[in-house]
Amino acid sequence: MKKYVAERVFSLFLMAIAASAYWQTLALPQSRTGLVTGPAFYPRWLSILLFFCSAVPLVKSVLRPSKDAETPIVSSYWVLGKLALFFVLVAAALLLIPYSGWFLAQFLLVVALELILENRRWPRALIISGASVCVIYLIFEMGLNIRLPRGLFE
Amino acid sequence: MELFHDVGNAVLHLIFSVNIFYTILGGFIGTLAGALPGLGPSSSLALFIPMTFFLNPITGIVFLLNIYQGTMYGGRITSILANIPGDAPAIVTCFEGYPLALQGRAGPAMGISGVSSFFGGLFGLTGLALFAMPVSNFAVRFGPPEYFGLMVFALSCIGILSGDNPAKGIAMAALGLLCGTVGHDFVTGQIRMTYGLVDLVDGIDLIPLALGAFAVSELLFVLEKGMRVEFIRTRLKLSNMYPSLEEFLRCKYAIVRGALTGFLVGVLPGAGGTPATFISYAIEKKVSSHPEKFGTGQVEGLSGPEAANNASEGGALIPLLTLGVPGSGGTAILLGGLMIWGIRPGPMLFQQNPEFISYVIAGLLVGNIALLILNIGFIPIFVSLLKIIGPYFTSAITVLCLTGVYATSYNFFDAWVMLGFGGISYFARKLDYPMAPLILGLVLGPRTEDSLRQAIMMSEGSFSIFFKSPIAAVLLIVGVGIIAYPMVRYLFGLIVRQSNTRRPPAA
Repeated sequence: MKKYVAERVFSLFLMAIAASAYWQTLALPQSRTGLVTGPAFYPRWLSILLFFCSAVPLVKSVLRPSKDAETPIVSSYWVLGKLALFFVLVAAALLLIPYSGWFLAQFLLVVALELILENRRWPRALIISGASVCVIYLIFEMGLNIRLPRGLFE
Repeated sequence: MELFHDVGNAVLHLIFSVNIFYTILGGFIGTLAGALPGLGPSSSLALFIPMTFFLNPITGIVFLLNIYQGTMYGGRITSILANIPGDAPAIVTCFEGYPLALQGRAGPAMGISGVSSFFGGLFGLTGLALFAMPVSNFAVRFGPPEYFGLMVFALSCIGILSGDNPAKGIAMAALGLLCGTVGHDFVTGQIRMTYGLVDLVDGIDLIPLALGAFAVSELLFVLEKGMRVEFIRTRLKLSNMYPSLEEFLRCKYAIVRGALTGFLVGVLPGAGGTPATFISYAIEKKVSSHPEKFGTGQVEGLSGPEAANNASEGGALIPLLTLGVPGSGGTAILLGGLMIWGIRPGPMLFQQNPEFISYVIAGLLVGNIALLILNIGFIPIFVSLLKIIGPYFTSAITVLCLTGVYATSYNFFDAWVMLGFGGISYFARKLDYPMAPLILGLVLGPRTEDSLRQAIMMSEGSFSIFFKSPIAAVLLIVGVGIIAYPMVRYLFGLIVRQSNTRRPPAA
């Protein structure tokens, strides 16, 4: 994706957030005290400010594109895929935690990160994962008394 | 004078209590985090705040402040030894530090930068001790209209100063302020802006947003580019960390100029260490009798910015502690930490809790001394640790982020918020949207609305209350002017260009 395309898409994204926030404020009740500043006043004006400030880069990219407008925002689709895979792995770990417990999910996540994203070999990936589980257990459970979920092993 | 006496007592109490351990530990962690490309002051603080909830407030804040202070020292390690800045303020250190290292003078470069950082930090702390009380006494007069004006001024400054594009900075500030409205309206109790999600009834927490905006987005940058830190081959021993006498004498005025520059720039909301270092470097180049040699290893160009960076910390703490207005993303996260502990910075903090300020200054003072020793005597240990940790940066930070964000609220929803903001922030940063205004908006948003609505209630619905107070009027006019100026200048330039193209050619 080229930078000017990303610029416009992101501006539209922010403008959509602003518009949806404004729409949310329409459902809020008016001030009961008769003053203008009820619960809707402040977020409404903020959404208007966000809308117009987000529109400025969009207009600018159309009227006066920057010198690096044609450069790709991410160096290659392979890199984009790598980043997407990172999110998929972390999301999968978060979904797994209620069933497997924190430490097993963390172990599998780190193994996956090391094998797939960092291209490490099995033995080293397993050692790093085991070490990470030990460090987290020592710091959070033993040191800070924070009980992490055990999942179905409760 | 009473404050200095209290600080002395606090220093003694700190040294002979468990706080000394957390002071040194915070400095050590901060130095390591600052040296790691990819972790700066903001993400380091966001990562470690959850681990301080089980400490008492004094210990926790001393720990966090020394992590913050440590990152100021640590960024220069990879700047000098690998030409890779550990964080944004350390970019300038690469200009003179790395050429010195290439000349086989990495030791003296580390020594000069460490000593300059120490004196800069000391200057900043002295300024904090001298000016905090007078500013606090002045701020006692502030009511809701003045606070609203101050918030508008602070957010305008940080929106404009944080990046190259003012509209993007203000957009991020507005987004942060909007995030601060999610949850309960504090006046009426009305639930708003939750989009029907039960998990948003308590609002969006600072830690998931900060971790997403800084740590996760930085992780994505590291995944994209890879983390390869190649240190130059050099032997760093304590005996060769000292600069020559001639170099040290050349640095002394640079240190003073840098410290003064850093302190004054640090006070400004939105300024912080990065612009302070660049301004200091420009000053040193300007006053030097050999400006053409800059870029080849000039010690003044190394010492001035290092002093500026550390002095800016003391400057940034003045508005934070006396007015409750953070000046940067890092101090915004510190403010969030303080509020989590139930400490509300502002003028009343000095009236009701003067010993807290003494402990803050004492913690930073003792930490500064500890950091000087760590950053000169223990550099080879940091380099070894960086070589060990660097290759496993992705996994380590991922695990710390997830565990830290869960430990804050025992709620998985916050982890999803962190991931979401991480993805959004990655693309935002690619497109030069600054993150500091987003964090500041979230932290200051509730207080801004609080001040606005209290002021309107006081005046029974009239907005003229903001112009009846000279302080509020000036702050509002300057704040709005800061936002409006780039637009006015752009429109004026457009009109001038249009009139030039329409003018008939001369006969």
